[in-house]
Amino acid sequence: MLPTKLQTSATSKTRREIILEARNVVRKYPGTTALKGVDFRVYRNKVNVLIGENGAGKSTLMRILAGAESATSGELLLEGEPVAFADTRDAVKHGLAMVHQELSVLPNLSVSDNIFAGQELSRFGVVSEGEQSARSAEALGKLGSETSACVLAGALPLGQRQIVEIARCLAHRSSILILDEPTSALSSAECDRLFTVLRELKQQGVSIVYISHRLQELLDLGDHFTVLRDGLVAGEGRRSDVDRRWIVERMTGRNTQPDLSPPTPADAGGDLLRIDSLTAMGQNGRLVLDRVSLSARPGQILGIYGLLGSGRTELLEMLAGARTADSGEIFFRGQRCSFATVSDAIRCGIALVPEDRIRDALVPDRSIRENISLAGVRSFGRCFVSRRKEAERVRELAAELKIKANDLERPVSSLSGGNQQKVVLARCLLTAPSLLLLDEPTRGVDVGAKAEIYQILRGLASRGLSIVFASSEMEEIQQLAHRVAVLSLGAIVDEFDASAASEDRLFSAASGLRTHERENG
Amino acid sequence: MNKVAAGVPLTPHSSTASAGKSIATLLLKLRSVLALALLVVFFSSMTSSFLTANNLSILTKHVAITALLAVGTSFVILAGGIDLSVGSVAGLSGMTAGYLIVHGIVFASGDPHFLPIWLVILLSLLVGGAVGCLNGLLVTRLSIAPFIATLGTLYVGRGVALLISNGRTFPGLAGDAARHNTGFPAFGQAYLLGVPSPVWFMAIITLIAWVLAAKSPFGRHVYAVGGNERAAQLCGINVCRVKISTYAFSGACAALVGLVIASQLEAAHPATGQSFELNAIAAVVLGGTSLMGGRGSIGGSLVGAFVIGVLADGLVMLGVSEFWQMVIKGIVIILAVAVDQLQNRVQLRLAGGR
Amino acid sequence: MARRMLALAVVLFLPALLPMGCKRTGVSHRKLIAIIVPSQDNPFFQAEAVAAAERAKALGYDVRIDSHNDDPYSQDNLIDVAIASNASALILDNAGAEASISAVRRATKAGIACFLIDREIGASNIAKAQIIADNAGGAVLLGKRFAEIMGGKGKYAELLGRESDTNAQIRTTGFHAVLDKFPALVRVSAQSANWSQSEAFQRTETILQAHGDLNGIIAGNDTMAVGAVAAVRNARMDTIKVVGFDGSPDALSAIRAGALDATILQPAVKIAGMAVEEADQFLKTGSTGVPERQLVPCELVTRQNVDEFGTFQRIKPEKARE
Repeated sequence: MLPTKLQTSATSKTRREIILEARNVVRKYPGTTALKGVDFRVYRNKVNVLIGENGAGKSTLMRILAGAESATSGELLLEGEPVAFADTRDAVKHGLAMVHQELSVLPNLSVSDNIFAGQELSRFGVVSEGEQSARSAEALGKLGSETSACVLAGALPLGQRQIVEIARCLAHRSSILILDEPTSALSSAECDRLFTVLRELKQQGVSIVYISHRLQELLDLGDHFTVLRDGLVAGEGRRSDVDRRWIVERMTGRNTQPDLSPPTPADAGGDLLRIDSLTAMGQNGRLVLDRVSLSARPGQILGIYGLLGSGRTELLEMLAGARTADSGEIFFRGQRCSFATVSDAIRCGIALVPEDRIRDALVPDRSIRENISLAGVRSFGRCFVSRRKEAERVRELAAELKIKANDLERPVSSLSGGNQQKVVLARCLLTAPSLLLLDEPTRGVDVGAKAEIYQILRGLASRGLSIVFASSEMEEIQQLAHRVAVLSLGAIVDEFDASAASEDRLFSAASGLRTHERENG
Repeated sequence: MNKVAAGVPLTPHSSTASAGKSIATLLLKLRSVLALALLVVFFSSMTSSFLTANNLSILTKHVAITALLAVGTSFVILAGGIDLSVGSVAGLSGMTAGYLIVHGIVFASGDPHFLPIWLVILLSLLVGGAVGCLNGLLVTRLSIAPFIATLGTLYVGRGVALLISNGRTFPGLAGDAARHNTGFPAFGQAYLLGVPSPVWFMAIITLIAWVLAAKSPFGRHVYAVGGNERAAQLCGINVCRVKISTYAFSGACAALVGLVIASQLEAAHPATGQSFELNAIAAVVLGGTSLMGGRGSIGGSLVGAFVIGVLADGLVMLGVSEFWQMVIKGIVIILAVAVDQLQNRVQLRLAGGR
Repeated sequence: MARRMLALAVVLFLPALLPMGCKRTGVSHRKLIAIIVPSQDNPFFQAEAVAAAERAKALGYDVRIDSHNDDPYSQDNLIDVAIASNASALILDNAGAEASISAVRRATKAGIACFLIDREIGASNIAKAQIIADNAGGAVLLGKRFAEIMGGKGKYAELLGRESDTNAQIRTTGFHAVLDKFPALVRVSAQSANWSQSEAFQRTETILQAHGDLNGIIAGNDTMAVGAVAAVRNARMDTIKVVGFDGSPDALSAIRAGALDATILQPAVKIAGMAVEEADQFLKTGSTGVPERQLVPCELVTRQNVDEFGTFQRIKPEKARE
């Protein structure tokens, strides 16, 4: 079943192409085996893509390559020679560096201090600032960044911070760069810039290992593809042999393509929600929302296409009562209302699934049950929570949303990303909303769970729920929305039915933002 | 933070293995109770007078003081805060009661007006609750870090307690029959069904606190605020109100402690309660509550208070020098937290996580 | 891992317990005398606690020493523990004249004979005895000595103890009963240094800045006097005469070195011994045979007679004065 047999008999030419190789790597944890004998090759001066659902073992494998963990068995070959890294510093010395999923930039230090954090260049015990800034500037220049090496890293936008992280690796003269979901926090303009940088790095002789959930960017960028499933290699191939379907089949182990057809528009009733000229000022005096008018109907899924900083999060939080507008009106069920607090909005029947579930939604140490019932716990008794009623309702919801957990009393942090997202969704449904707001509903969710969440949302809409979601993934907008609004720089720049939501139209609608971003550069 | 998002394979494990695992986890969970039992056995074997009804009654009475403070502070800590002002509040409430009993309230003109004891007690409790509210307001409205805000009220409270009497002790809190304010000593000294009144207070307050924490929506909200404040807010929980309530509860508990002590001594001393906050925090931590908030229980804090109380009284009975007592107390606290960390790691492993 | 933690616990715990655990072995049929003093890191209280303990052991009692750190609540707890341990007698240097009454009363009710040393409480007929040093008499003695060495004239400063402490009041009243009779002796400054050496050092430095012509300093206790001596030395104004009160080992060695002129020795060891002997008498006969309140005279220590004194006690008989 595994294609590994074929490839171990590789020619000497391919040998030379391979800079780093992991052979038959096994990593056991008490109670579970994360890697069950994985072969992985990193080709010289190529973008080597590693794909897999959450829990497939990608991160473990990368940590082993970067020296953060050691394998239970198996070996690593660098330039054909067996190596063993004592720790990440040792790996860095050998030219391997990892850019982490969670950005590890120190906001209180300057860019050059960040680049040399932990490995300061010093003479007689004194940090040589001059040399550090010079080498930082050199590394940043290579990346095409105009960021000054002496500004505080915390002052940079996310995309620039990512560049700083990569510069950190380059400054240590790394020849192999491992990027773990580098784009999950970036806007698409920032993504584009990152991809340009990666392509240039490739030309300059850097080999790249790239992990991401976003199939489109993988297909755009990747040269070699390796798919992991349940701790085993499920597929391996060059770009020319690989397409979307190939990846999805090997990731999920299913032969079916996820449902890509746009849903049929639901019967439109009267407006459930109507907002009129909603305007809000940001901290820097810029408008985060600029006269936004929208309406949502029962049974309809409204998709708001907007990139990071477009105001999509602010808009949804305003509707959910977590933020107040400076002017404009919100009409809910035909009545004018302004939600001062989240609990007001929940009482009216509005619930929000926030963008960042780890930061904004989950209480990691508490059980799945408590996390689900959190927003509506008073409905099980004002003074005493009836555990029986609570457990019953939570079980129902968990079954309905297919939350895969054998024990609802386990901490919610033990769940995978997709199941965590379903927990947040279940929490919202428990408050019996008539309007469901979702901010990036499938961020950091693997392909299988993504399809399930789409199905759940469609089901809810067909039962008459009004759904408004914001997303920066074009594909998601196309698959899920009945109607689409494009938000750019706080303003609705275009609005149309799903049938008209071609990639061209979405792009051109959002392009106002792009030119503007370039101006701000 | 993102690490918690890492997936865990949800493969069912065999029943025998899970039984073994659950026993191991249970033992770790009950470790503070086991430690307590161990201490009791140890001290009973060393001194014959330890395990007598008389001594146990006295011991529980002493524990009650730490337990009341610990239970109060538990809420604050569970909600992600800290309360350093409890010792000062205890001193302040005792002095308030002392002042009201000895001097009464003097209205604009005329003679002092003496209040009945129940009103004195109520007012002193209210003073404690008010300082707690102040803490809560400082933390929520002015966004002052809890450590700093309550450090400030620690000094202010102690200073005001000293100001009330100019640093002197209020003697003779027995009251005066002519002023109709006798009976205060009974508050902390009386026995009901053979059990000293502080123990009753401990039992009642702990029960209330346990119901609040484990059974009520308020408790869920406290855990949510401590576990992830932003998530709690986006769930429609009034985070400010929850926080202020926890500080007010803690303040009221501390005030109760101050009253009990003043009643036992029949005198109010402005320095009462110095460094009580450290005992309270130690008890909470011994009980397995995380200082980061969101994890722990009221029962744990109670057991923690017992561990500290048994250790203190037992070592005194053994005749251990006070310097060694400090060393041992410190070691016990460090061990407790070390074992707590161990438990987390073991649970994570048993759960099959990474 | 778990086993390692357990081993760690045992290793940390056992040595901590062994040295004291051995002190009291198992069940004893001897009577217990509990000694409670303010603290054990202060030489005065340490001397009184050790003296009482040694006397009691010599008389065949079991002994336990605890300290309440001037906290009435902590004292209350310790007395409870003494009751629970069936102590026969209690030797107590209490934590506050008013705040200690109820605890002493409770101990007495529980059948423990209470003997108060060093400090009184504000109630009579509860304790079997209250034995204290004659602070007022000692203060007069020191006042006389100070007037003598100053030659009856000049400028002096006074360092006062903690204002809320009754002993601070008694001592300063005693000083002034003598000093105020000399019109040429002018007090240019009076500051509280809260019995503390470091505070006394800082206050004295400030006073010396303001009064460069100072001739003498009279301090309410030795700790402050020693702090003042250090400040005087630092300022190279060695002609300034300093006197203290208590008779601490530090003060005695300062007197030997000539830095401190005089101090008043409180006979803490004698008082502790008296209390234990009276307790023994009471336990054997049901009466102490002496009145409840007893004043023990203090003694003046100067360079001439400093060798006759040890730690809070006279160790050699008085030489005839020349």
